Amino acid sequence: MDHDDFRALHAATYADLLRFVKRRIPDDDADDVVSATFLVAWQRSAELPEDARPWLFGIARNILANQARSRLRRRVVDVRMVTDLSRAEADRAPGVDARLDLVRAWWALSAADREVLALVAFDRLTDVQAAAVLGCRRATFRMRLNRARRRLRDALEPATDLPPAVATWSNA
Amino acid sequence: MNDLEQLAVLDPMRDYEPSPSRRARATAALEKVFHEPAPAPSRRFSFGDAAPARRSARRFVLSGAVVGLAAAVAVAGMIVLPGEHGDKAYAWTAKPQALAGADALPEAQRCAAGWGADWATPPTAADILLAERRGRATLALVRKDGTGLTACFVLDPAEGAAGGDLLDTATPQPVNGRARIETMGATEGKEGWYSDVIGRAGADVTKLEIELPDGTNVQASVRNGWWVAWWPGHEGGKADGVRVVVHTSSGSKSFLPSELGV
Repeated sequence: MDHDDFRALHAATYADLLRFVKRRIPDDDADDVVSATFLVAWQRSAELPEDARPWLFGIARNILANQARSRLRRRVVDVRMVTDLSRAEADRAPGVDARLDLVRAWWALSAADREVLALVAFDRLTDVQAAAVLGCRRATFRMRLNRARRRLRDALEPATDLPPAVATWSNA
Repeated sequence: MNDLEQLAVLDPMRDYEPSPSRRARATAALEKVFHEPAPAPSRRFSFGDAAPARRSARRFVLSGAVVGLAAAVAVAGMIVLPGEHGDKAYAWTAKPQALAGADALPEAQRCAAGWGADWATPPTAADILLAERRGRATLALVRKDGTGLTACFVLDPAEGAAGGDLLDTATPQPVNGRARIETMGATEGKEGWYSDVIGRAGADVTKLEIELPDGTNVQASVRNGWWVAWWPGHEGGKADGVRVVVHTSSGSKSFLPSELGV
């Protein structure tokens, strides 16, 4: 890949990558992580896959995980920021209570669950792409996603009798 | 609107677009990237490099990433843990049977097969760093293609491999008297929840035990500076849901998982 090709890749993916990073760390640090991601990507450009976006996200996630390691946050890269609404806003806007419930349910989940949900709901990745970001098999990701969705539903409706858990066994 | 679509509404970056000035700075930074020296071409990038945390994200809660959120979790036990007392259906022993590499080779090969083309060379007995059996379950640490290390878990031979996740081997072995948890979590299987923990131990560590809240002491397998254990139940998925006792020839010390890196 030559410089022009990589510039084109940067132009096409920069905003998505910045959004990916900003979902996970404060804005002040985001530019450095994005730059570092493109540095690694340039150094590995010979191995650039056809679908570059999840590959870049995976690099960024690795950088974030390594940074977080010193803070004992080494297992998952949590999504740190979700739009929240104040009670005052909730009082004004119909339907916002449900959103507040969703926010509460979101923060009741584990960081691992939030990560898999965010990759699909926020980062808009397919299961194949999200699996690439996490470095796992698609079947494994789907298992994680199904569990996370179930726990989200549980957190939203704790009193509801849900159907029995689906078999969660899966060849990893 | 399904649950994922509902969640998308909460995305704080949904409508975010970088400003022209920010994009310009990023483009300028890219030009600097081109002046960085090229890396040695022999080092292959992989998504394992990109995502060292893959092994633990598969599990349900409660790994180190949750430490910062432990307060929130503890506030209400908001994470739903089904089967609080109903996870003891597995054939299991608190004390493991140590296996030689050759004895765990069939399980290791099943795990390798689960990787498909991503595991190029089938493991041999020499690739098995540690292996133990409790009941029907075999847990082994297996070198993958001579480089990576995977945790191979066959909970029930009739069901096949339950997991084959990559472990992070980049971090150094703990100092004497100490241990570190590399991954710990709880998973829901056919016979209920089970927890597993994999860690590294200082060279002088002779024994590790997991103390469960009900008083059960789970003896870990320790070999080659690594230790593993699993047990029925989901305590491994709770923040500081167990204690880990590290034994050396000079004594024993009890730790919370949060003191051991999760």
